[in-house]
Amino acid sequence: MSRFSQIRHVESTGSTNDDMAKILGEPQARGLTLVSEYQTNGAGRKGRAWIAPPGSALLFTTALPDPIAPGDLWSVPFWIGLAVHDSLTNFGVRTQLQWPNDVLLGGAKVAGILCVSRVAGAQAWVACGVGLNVMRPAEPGALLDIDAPPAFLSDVRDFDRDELLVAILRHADVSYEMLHAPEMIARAWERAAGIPGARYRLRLDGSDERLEGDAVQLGAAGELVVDCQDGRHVISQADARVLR
Amino acid sequence: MDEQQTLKELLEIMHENDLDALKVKVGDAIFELVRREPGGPVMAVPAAAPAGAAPAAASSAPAASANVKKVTAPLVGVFYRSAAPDAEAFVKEGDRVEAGQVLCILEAMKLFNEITSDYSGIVTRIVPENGELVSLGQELFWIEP
Repeated sequence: MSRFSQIRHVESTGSTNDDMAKILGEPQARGLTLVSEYQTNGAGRKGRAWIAPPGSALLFTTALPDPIAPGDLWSVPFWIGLAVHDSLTNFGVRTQLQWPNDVLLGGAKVAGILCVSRVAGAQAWVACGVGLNVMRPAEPGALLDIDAPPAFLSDVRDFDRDELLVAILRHADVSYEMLHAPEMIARAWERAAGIPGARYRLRLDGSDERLEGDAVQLGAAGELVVDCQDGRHVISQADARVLR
Repeated sequence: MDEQQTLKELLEIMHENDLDALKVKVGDAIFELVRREPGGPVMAVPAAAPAGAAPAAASSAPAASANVKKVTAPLVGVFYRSAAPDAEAFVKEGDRVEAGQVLCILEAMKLFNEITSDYSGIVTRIVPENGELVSLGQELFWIEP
C-alpha cells in the first residue's frame, strides 16, 4: 500500500497549493494528493503566475504523511524534483534538474516545483506542488509563466496524465525514506542536475548583482555553491539559469 | 571591551569560517551579525537587550517583561507578515493570538513556510522588518500570555 494512494481530483481551483495549505497538519491531509484539471491562480517562485489551460498540464499538490524537522524542510523540493525526473526517465524521457526548482526538457522548463509547509514547534507539515507541462496547447501563448518558452512532454511523446501522476507518486513512495537523510537527497539531486560541471547564470534576489560560474555542489541547506572568476559563492536566493 | 574592536574581531571570525550568521554574548552585550545574502557582505543587526542588563541609551527597543514568550525562526528564510503583498498581515502588535495560529511566512528558495505560534497571548513586538532575511533562532515575535 503506497503512502500516497489517496488522490482527490478537483475540476478547477485557484491553486492546489493554497487548497492544501488550508488543511496541512489535519488528519485528512496526510498523504493526500490534490489534482486540478486546470488552475487560475497557480504561483511560481516570487508569486509569478502559472496559469494552465484545461488539459495542458498535470497540476498536483501532495502532502507528506508525516511531519519532518523544520531544519530538513529544504530537502523536500529536491526530493520531489527527483521523483519527477526519475519517473520521466523510466518513461524514456531524459530531463535535467535546474537549481533551485525546475525540471528542464531540451533546455526549456517543463516542470516547476513549489512547496508549502506549516511549522508548529519542532514539527513541519509539508506539501509538494508540481506543475508539469504535458500537452502543448493549441493556442500559443496561453501559458503565462514565462521568461522563456516552455517545453511540453508532448514534444517528445504523449502521456496519460493519470498514469504519469501514479508513476510520480510511486517514486515518491519508494524514495520516501530518503527524507530521513537529506544529504542523500542532495547527492542524488546533484547527479541528476549534472553537478559538478553545470554552468549557471544567476541574478541574486534583492540586488542587480549577476554571477556566472560552475556549480560545485549543494550546500548544507540546499544552497548552490558556485565557483566564479572572483572565487566561490554560496547562493541561497536567486533566479538561476543553467547554461548549455 | 571596545565595541568597535569586538565587532571587527567577530567580522574576521565570520569571514575566516565563511559563516552566514553569528551571535555571541560578550559580558552584558549580545552581538548578532548576519549576511543579508549568505555569501554576501556581513552586516550587524540590532541585538536584543540582554536580560537584566541596563538598557543602552541609544536603544529604542522595548525591554521584554519577565514572562514574555519569544517565537524564534525555526529555519533561515525571508520574513513575510502576510500571505501576499496585497494581503492583510497575519497579526499586528496588540493582537491576541492562540497557540497554533499562523504568525508569518518564512520563504526559503522553493518553500513557503507558515510559522505558527507555540503560545497564546498578546503580540507585544514583531521583531523583523517585512522582507528581511532572518537567521536560524532569530527572534520573530514577543508574546505575553
